Amino acid sequence: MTTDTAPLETRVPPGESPAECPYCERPLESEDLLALHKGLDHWEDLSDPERETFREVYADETESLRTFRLKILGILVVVYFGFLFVYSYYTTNPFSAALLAFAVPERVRALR
Amino acid sequence: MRTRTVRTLGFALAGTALLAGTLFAGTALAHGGSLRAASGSLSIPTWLFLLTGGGVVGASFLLASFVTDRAFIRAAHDWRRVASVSLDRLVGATRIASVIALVGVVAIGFGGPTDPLRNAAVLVVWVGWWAGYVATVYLLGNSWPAVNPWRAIAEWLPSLDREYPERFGVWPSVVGLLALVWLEVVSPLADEPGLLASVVAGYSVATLAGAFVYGPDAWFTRVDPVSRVFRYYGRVAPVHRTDSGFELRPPGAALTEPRLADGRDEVAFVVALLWVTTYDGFVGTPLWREFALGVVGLGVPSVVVYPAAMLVGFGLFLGAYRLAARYSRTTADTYLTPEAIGRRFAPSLLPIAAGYHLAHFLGYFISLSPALFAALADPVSPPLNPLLIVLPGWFGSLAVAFVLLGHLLAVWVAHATAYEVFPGRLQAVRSQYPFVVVMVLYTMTSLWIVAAPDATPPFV
Repeated sequence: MTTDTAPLETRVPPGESPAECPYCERPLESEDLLALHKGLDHWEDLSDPERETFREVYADETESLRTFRLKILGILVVVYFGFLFVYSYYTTNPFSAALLAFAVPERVRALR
Repeated sequence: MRTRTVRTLGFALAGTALLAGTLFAGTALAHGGSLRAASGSLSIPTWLFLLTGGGVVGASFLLASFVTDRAFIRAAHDWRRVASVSLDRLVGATRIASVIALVGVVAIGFGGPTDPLRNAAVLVVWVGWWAGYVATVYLLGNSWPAVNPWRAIAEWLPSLDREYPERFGVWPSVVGLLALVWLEVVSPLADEPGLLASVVAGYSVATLAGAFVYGPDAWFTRVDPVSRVFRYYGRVAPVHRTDSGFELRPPGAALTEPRLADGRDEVAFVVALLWVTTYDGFVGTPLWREFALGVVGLGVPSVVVYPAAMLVGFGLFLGAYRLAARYSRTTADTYLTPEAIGRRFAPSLLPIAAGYHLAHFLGYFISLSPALFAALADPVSPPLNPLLIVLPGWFGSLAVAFVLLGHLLAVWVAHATAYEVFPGRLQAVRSQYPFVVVMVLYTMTSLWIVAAPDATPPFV
């Protein structure tokens, strides 16, 4: 998020107490997100303790991203093998899926 | 009706190929026909073909979400090389040339040969301009402001400089774009040079009148659909004009900037650009043929079928996009309004439109370019049987690859934009869930159109 960004419109649902950015008044959804936002968009204006908070929150976030990546990897594996099985059922060469996108082969065209 | 012309061209190509003793091995391919020929011959069921396309886009989203290094994403998108050059003199020359070309198109359209394959006006407009030139705009850069003959004339003429009514926004260009594509689909614009010349002349009169009243700047940036299409396509390209010269950026990098779509009307224009390419293909499918015949059989007048489908489809596309923006607010757990999210992510749809255009028109351009050059060399009496290039069989799969590449770039642009907008990295990835669903559905729709056998659209 760059500083030349036009102010993003926000709408806070009634009854919620957002963490508001003291520099640009953007309401953030949690204190952690506020710390990240301040570090990313207002780095120059921050005090040392605030920068320290940013680093900590960013490191925590990296930690939770690691778990997230593992889940993504799991889904990718399932998708890959799912397609492999389906293709092995419908074609003689299950790897023709890759050929489909990049080089629809003569083998396939000849069936016309 | 271009699809019909193209079919004619396809037969012509096949005939030429036979006569010429088949210079190259392969089938005659042109326009969407190339894609259909490729995918229609797959040995897998259609649903699996569609699912695979959707799967590629979905998987690329998953892969993109592995890239969580903010510094890397920002560096990739901020990379640029700048060159300061002034091209003012050159622009003067290109403008004079393009005005001469415009006059030539109208003159040859009215007075040249009636065979579309020999008429320089038809070939320049469809092959040279709409297929070839448009591709340079999203592959290289938007040179239209330097070429636009109407803008050149409008700037030479005086103007009333009336205040453009702000409340209209860019809605007139949305209506204009839908109307132009509708006209292209229902009339034999690529078959009858005289009709094409009349439409070009009519468009010139309307454009110059508008620019005269509201001033060229307001007209060409807010109202003229053609200039706006080029402006948006040009944002996909690597080369951009700046105040002092040119800058080179990775393709699509400029799309993450917030200034491109700044209102509901701009979002509607981007979605319209995407929709018209789909519409153009959709009316050539058997499903549409059966539907149109059935509806007219029930007593609906045939003239309303095409515009109605145009509007309903546009409504569906826009509705799906807005719905995605609304859900994105929930999945990302953000206070941003759905409108703000919709505006910010709309430019990521542009590479899809560009990829689809390239898939449609690259083969068309290559196979007809000898005819174009022959007609340009001698517009008054071009050779009787212009040479046409017969594309090899694998060309159709290249088209499928372009459709997918457009979607992959779109997924990446959306990913980078989300990182710009949201402070949380997980939040950024979550904001993309609804958009990815829409993109996957869109890929599957495009591939379905591409895979459907060719049918003649009825009532046109």
